[in-house]
Amino acid sequence: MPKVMIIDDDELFRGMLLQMMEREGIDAVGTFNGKEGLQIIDSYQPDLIITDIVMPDKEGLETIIELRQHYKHIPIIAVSGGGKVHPDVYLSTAKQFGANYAFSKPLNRTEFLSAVIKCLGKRA
Amino acid sequence: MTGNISNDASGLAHMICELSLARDLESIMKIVRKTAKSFTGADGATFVLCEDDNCFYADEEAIEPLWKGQRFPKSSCISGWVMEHKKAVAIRDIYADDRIPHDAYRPTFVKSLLMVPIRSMDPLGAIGVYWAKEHLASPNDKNNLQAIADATAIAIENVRVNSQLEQQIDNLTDERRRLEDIIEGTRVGTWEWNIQTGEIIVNDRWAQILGYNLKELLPVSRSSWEKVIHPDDFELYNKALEGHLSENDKYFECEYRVMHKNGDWIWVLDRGKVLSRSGDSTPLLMYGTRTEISERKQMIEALQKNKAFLQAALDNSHAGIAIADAPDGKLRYVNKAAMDIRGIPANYSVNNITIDNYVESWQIYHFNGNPYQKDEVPLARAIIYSETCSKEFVIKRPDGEKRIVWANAAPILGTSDKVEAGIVVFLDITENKRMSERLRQAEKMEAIGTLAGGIAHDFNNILGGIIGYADLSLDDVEPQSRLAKNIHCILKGGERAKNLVNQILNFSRRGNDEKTPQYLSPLIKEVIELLRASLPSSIIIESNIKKDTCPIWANPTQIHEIVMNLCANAAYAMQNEKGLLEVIHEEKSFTEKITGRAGTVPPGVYSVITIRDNGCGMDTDTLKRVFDPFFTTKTQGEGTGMGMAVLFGIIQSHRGTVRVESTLGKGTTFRVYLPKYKKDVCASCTPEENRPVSQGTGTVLFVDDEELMVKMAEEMLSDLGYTVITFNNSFEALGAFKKTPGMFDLIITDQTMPVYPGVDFAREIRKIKPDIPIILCTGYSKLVDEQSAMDAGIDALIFKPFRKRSIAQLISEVLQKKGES
Repeated sequence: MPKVMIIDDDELFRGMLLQMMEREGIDAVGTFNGKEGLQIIDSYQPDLIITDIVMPDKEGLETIIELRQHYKHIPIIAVSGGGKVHPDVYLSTAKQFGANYAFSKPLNRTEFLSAVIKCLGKRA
Repeated sequence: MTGNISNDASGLAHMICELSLARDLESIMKIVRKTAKSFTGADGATFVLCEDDNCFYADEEAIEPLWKGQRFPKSSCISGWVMEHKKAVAIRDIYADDRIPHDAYRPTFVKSLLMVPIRSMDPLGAIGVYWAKEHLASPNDKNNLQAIADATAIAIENVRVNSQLEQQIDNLTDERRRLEDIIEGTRVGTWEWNIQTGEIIVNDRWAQILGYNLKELLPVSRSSWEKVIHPDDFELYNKALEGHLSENDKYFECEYRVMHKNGDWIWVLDRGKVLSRSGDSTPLLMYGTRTEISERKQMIEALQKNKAFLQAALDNSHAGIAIADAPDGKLRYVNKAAMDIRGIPANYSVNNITIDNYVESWQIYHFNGNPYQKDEVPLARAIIYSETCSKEFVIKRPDGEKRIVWANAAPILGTSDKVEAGIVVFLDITENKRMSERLRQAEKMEAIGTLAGGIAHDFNNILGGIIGYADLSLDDVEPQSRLAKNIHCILKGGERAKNLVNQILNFSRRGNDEKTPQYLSPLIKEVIELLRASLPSSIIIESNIKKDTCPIWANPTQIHEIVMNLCANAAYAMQNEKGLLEVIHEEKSFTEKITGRAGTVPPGVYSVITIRDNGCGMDTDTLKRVFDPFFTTKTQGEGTGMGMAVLFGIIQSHRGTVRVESTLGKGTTFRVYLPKYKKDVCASCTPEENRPVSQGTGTVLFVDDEELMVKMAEEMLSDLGYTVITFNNSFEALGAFKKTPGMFDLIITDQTMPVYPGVDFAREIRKIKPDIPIILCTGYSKLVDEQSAMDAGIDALIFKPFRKRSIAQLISEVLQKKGES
């Protein structure tokens, strides 16, 4: 079963993503910031990482940079609700830093899932 | 002595001589009583004066007292008889004559008498002589005494005439003294001019006016008179004088300047008249006066100056000013500014404008379009009700343009507080109103922007949850069930909320608004194609898109949004009928500032996008609020009310402006003005994607307190070929730069940092190496705009986050510019 690690500080959204994965038959684990995510990555061995960008503590862009340095093979999907700037700005930066896909919140489920499947397919 | 004719004659002659010298009655009586007594050899003589019905015994000379000082009725004394009968009488024995009042004579020595009247025709009195014995006066005595009486009559007449003459002389002297006092009192100089001899007689005051005493000036002649006249006034003076001398003018009257002894010019008023002319009208003598009027002239001059100042102030005031007379309010004065505000020529006649036609002639309306009532006009109120009145209203110009006017009128009160006139001062406040409207708009936008940035992130997260869960829930329900329908409704609402957040973010200009040189015509054409596909066929699109000769600095997505938004609104306004949507693009050069709803922009070349519809149009209120955030005329669910507000923000961020015209029922026209990029910059513009990324060499000092940015920059700049030395605080960076300033070719600094924010850091760097290029890297910040950064000596500004291409381009531009200078 493919495994996805979700990093998002927003409990509501994180929970929703977890359920979405579960419905697709994907094993998923939720962490609430980049720091926590990086701590469990070696033990969990995810096939895909879905990360929010604007977060307290270890935030998304930083997390992506670290992941790209150490786990070049794991695909990353960045998700953002924006902050001081439009979500697109964060997402394009995230892509520059190495995220495979980027989506703004709220998600379009179909598009999002197709990206998830593509990432997992590549992996597979 | 009686009977001696020659003696009598010489005595009489002597007496007449004495009498002719007498100056009063006393002297006459003294001479007469003596002479009468001695001529007749009588023992006494009396001098009786006629006083109406009485005889007054005024004087006497006798051996014993007679009746001196007594009065007797004419009818009861002999002197009375003589005066009544106008003839002499001689009585030998008075006691034998019953004309004599014996009782009066008894106490006296008198036994006989001779009495003659003084002046026979109309006796003035009588002279009587008396003897102490019976004696009949001889005819000679009688003749002598009558001669004395006749001479006396002449002497009395002489005294009377003389005293009358003296009285007249006294009167004349008094009169003359009075005239002299008057002349002295009125401080008038006088002159008499003998025109034939040229001699001029003047008084002391005449000389004083010129600062001299009379002696210093004598003799005064026409030439010495005219020598001191001011050259500029001489012609005037001469004309006035000749005009009178030649009898053209009744009087000589002239105001002119003459030189005072102290060298000053003083003003005098000369008035005069020829009082004597010869038979052929040649003027002989002329008299006149001179008054000094310098003070009066100065006062008049000061008054005129004041009046001129006041007039200039009124004429040149930017406020309109009108003055009208009470009670009918007929306009007496209207200044140019007033005419300008009204939109009529300055020479337009206002003669027939009164309270009755203020409203029509000045086209005064309420804001709702209703004309004013006659007594609502401020000037009318000032005149009719004597009240001070301030109002704002609309004036419609002849060309139909409406101006908003503020007017303040006040009554001008005369004596006893009666209104004599009214004055109104009014200002065209149309621009002020627009400005404050724009300011209000800007403040509202700013507030929304601030709010938007704060809530967008949380809002998107929340919406993400709502939409996501709703979506997931759909998996578990029957597709046609009521629950499924409800969940669809939640999703639909969520989508709307998502759009709204996006629009708010766009509007607050915190979205992606990276700008590049863009040609507008292809962008607009794209939108039109898109519209053709999506608009109902009832709407015909006509377009006239002129090709740009020069690009504008724009964000293509936002240009799309402008045109799309305006066209969509136009289509919405035409949804119930066959519509014509016109889209025009042209380049225009403006020599004057363009004022629009999004502000006033400087003269220059602009791309003008016109979008016109023939739809339902907008009323005044809608037109006013068309760019207000959250203002919409669409039904709930059809619009967010943010579209036009976003558009407003986009136009402003492109340094452009927008104008709107709309007529209810006829349609609406929007004109968007976007400035062209400067020619020299344009020349080097090529579409961005075709340009290679500029590679370069040199050492760059990069400072940012965000670790992430530092890492990213290091990577980007190394890729571009630069050697990068990074710091995560400005204090350390400054220390390193101080040690080896020669090592660095370029500084890139973040703005928001502790200790030295970017601008301050740049200043410190400049102190060490004034010519080093500096790029300031900043997020959205009100504190740093392009101008203030340039003022601080920053060479270029880049907004975070930036792309490799943009930073590469900017670095190469900055280095090139420095190399050139």
